[in-house]
Amino acid sequence: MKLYIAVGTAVLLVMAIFIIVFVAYYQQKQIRQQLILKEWQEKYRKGLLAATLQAQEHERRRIAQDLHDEIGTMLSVTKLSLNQLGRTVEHNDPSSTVLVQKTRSLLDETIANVRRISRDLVPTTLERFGLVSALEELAEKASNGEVHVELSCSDKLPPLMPQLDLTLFRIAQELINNAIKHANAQHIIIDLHCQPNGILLSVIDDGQGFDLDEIMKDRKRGLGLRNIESRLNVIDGHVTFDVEEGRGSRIHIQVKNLKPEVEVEVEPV
Amino acid sequence: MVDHPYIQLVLKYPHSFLPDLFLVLALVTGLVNYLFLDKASHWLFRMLILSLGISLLQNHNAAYRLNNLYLYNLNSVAEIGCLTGAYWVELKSKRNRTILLISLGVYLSVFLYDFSWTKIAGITLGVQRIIMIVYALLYFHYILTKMQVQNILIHAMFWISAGAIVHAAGTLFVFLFVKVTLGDVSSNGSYGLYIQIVRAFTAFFYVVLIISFWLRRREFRMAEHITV
Ligand SMILES: Nc1ncnc2c1ncn2[C@@H]1O[C@H](COP(=O)(O)OP(=O)(O)OP(=O)(O)O)[C@@H](O)[C@H]1O
Ligand SMILES: [Mg+2]
Repeated sequence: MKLYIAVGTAVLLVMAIFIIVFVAYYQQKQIRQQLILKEWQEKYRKGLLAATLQAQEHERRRIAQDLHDEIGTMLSVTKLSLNQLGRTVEHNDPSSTVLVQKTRSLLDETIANVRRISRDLVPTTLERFGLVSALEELAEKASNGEVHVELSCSDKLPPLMPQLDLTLFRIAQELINNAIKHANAQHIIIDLHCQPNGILLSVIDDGQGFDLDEIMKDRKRGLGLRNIESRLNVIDGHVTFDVEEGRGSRIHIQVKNLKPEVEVEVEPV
Repeated sequence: MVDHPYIQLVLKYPHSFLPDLFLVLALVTGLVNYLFLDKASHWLFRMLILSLGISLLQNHNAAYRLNNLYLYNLNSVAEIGCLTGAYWVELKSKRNRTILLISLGVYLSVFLYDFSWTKIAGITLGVQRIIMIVYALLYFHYILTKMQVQNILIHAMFWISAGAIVHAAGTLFVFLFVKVTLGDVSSNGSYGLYIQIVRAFTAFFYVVLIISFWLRRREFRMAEHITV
């Protein structure tokens, strides 16, 4: 009897320990799997975001092309016929000359606008001459009598990861737009700075500033800052808002620029 | 002085105080970490207080050669009551709580039927062990299905359940076959050996509680870290 008790107890104990070890092992495994799943989901979300951004650029390009090739062409043809019409009209009814001239200048303005818009939609300079030239052009275009935009770029940029230049360009575009639209700034500096393994882009204005917390709470706020965040999300970048009401804003964008292999792959949706 | 019954008892059976030593240590640990204890640990702390009271009485009776066997039975009620409280806090689902209530009901009926003032109620204590195993298994099942615990190895309730299941498994048969194991109190009977085994497992359980109280502190700190 005593032997049975001893054996039974031993068996029970072994079973108990087995169960404990099993529970601990299985639970840890499950947790690890959950982590992997979460990582995978995060990667998938990033891929989706990247694909969305890419589709956006694609669509812009298409619109720019259509605008340039179709509307632009039609407008040029219209201008030709207007010139013809003008000559006829000037012959028969000299009093309409003013009207024709006015129509012609309206048409010219429209043609110029279409060209400008289609060029703004795709950053041609960026593709042809790189980020620094594109930012230079951006600064130049944005400067006028009231605002002065200046690019300060200390050193020569290393080769950038694909998509990185476009991301930085779009972000700079939005930040400058904001500074012009909301800040009443007179002086805006775009500062491009190389770091080991990364790039720091800062946009500094001397405007009236804003309260970031309040803007973030506002449900009806614009898309600009949110877009910046999602763009950075895709490439693991960081944005730091050094802003405050009553003084100029300093917004810093930090991105990694590792070897080009680290490119975010766009998974099929 | 030396012939005071208490001193006599300690001198005669020094190793019988092993569980009491760890019981006191567990209580001190619980007190030190009291602020970090959760509701379930509070129940275990209550259990330790009750057990200490009963144990003091038991030793007093032993010193004065009074019957103290019924105190084992009372301690069993205290333990199962507090453990049910602890698991009641942790296991929130209706099904689990129903099982807890049924188990407690079964235990109490067995207790009423089996209780005796003059001997250890082996069946009652055996049923207590079975119920402890059931509780621990319920908790393991809950952990594996809910998957809310991030790191099980520092999760206090996991170790408490593990301690409970080992304690129960180690002493179940001793109490179920109490007539064979603890029935013969004569000096050449097996009582001494088996009661020593029970004491060892009880001490082990208290050690696990000590560890779990420290783990509560750590878990609390980590949770604080995550939420801040
Ligand atoms: N440089 C800045 N100076 C002052 N206020 C700013 C500046 N940048 C942003 N803000 C404030 O933050 C708000 C949110 O900017 P955000 O770019 O997200 O939206 P938006 O510019 O209003 O709209 P959208 O960019 O979609 O055209 C702005 O409405 C403005 O009040
Ligand atoms: Mg904006």
